[in-house]
Amino acid sequence: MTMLKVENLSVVYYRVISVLHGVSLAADGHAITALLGGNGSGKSTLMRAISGILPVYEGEIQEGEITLGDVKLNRLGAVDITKKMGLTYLMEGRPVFEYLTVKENLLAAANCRWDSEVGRDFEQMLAYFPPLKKHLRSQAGLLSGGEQQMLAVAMALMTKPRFLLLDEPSLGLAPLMVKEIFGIIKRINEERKIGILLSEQNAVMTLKISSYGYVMDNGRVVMDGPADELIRNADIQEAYLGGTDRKDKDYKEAKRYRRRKRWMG
Amino acid sequence: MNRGALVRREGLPFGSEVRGVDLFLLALAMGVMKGAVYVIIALSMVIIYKSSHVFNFAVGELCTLGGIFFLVASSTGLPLVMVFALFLFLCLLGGAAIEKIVIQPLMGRDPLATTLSTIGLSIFLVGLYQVVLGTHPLPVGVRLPDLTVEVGDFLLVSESVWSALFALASLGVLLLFYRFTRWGIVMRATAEGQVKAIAFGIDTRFVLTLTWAIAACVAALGGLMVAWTGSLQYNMGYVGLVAIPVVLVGGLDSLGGCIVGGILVGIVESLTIFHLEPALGIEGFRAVSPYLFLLIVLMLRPTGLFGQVHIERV
Repeated sequence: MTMLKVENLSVVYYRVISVLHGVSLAADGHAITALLGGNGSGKSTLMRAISGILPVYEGEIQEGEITLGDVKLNRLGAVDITKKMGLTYLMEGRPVFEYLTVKENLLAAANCRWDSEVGRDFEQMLAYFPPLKKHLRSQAGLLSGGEQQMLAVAMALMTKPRFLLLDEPSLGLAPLMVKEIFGIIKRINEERKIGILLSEQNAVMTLKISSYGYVMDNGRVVMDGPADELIRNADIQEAYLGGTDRKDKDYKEAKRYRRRKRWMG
Repeated sequence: MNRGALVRREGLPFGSEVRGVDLFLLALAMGVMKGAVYVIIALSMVIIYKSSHVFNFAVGELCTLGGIFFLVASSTGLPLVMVFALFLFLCLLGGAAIEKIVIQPLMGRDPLATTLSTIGLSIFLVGLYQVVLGTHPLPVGVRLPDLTVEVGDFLLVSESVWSALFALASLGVLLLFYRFTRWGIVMRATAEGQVKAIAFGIDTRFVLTLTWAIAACVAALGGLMVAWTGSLQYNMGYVGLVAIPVVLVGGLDSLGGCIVGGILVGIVESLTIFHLEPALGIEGFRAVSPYLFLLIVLMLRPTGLFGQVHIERV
């Protein structure tokens, strides 16, 4: 079974700004693994490091090791990681090519694996995402936010990945759309047997479809565990679910402060 | 100046006794023919701008390179079709080599840095050509079939007709390539965002090399036309300067805009020669006219006539 493993990873930007301090995690190659954390906690940086796209952002892996299966990804370039290792990183913020039509977007994404099954996968994507079918010939920039995100996910699938890194796919979408996107992610994982590392702010929904979860804060993994345990965890509830049911607000504030302190460790 | 592109059938000295409407039509037709060369050169610039947002100031030197490569190719004594194939192949290689050496190291940096380095490239190439070619103009003969066309009182000289044909052919091929081929689509995708493209596993390095190879081919074709109607000289790359108003008038990222821009600039230039210069009594105003025209167009439409207006969802 292919596992994505990150061990003791440290990343700096511009040689001086230290962002990740010794992050370790393991993601099952057939399951959805949740990666939770607030803004600036290092989720995106971790994904950039795994996908090899870090140099574009002037970032650098200082120490640590990233392996997919038994191949070390550290020294590979971003294109090779997608092309040869089958690990695709879907950047946050709907990374579609706006001036290309929907069809062209899908074909452009399939470029790295151009084999005889491109046509079949193309049809399959339209079956997965019916709204795309209507807009095949319109420019992607003119689609709605939800449709663009669907297109982005479809594009990621067109690269024929074994493993997917999804960076906040529900960002900025209407609640109904968010629900749909999560449904799609779950379906992809089940039907295509693709391992997914899912970075999200929406903790409850993410944990509901994941099997395991990691919580990041300040460039460290501060907590991890099976998804159903995390979802009941009081810290998670406080941090992401808008507080617990406790009435005494002052006490809560104090307690949260203490909890945060403990995370920082 | 493409002298003798049009001559009266009686063989009068060019433009000497043509008056009124005739002169206007002559100037117009001449401008269109002249514009065809500009169209080709401008296409080369637009190709590079589309995929990397780099403004290639060395486009004129790519033209000269075309002239040189054609001399090399025709010196082999092969049949004409083979000469053209070899010529285009050499240009592909030349463009790719220039990209690998000069442009690739700056990849991922601000396009402005690359744009500036193309100015350096242009200066270097002019020097190199001077060493290789010497300073004397060399004749370049292209043994293409004679396509001289008579229109009313005028003759369209074969070279001009071929220029127009080449311009149309390059535009057609490029449009089809960008629209329908796998690598054409990928080149447009890369143009929109290199980072996004990399994330989807698109080999942007290769795309950029391909872009320059194709652009060099197109520019070389333009250069060949210039060298054919005039002569090949180490510093003939200055024609590339005229491509700047052409692409800006047409819109930096529009292939179709090149046609319109090139022809408009050609017409403006020849109208200046035949009408404005005699009227104003200023010799050499023709050199300024394309830029003046550019200024007026940009005041009215800052993105050029066909430039892409950004998609914004409201």
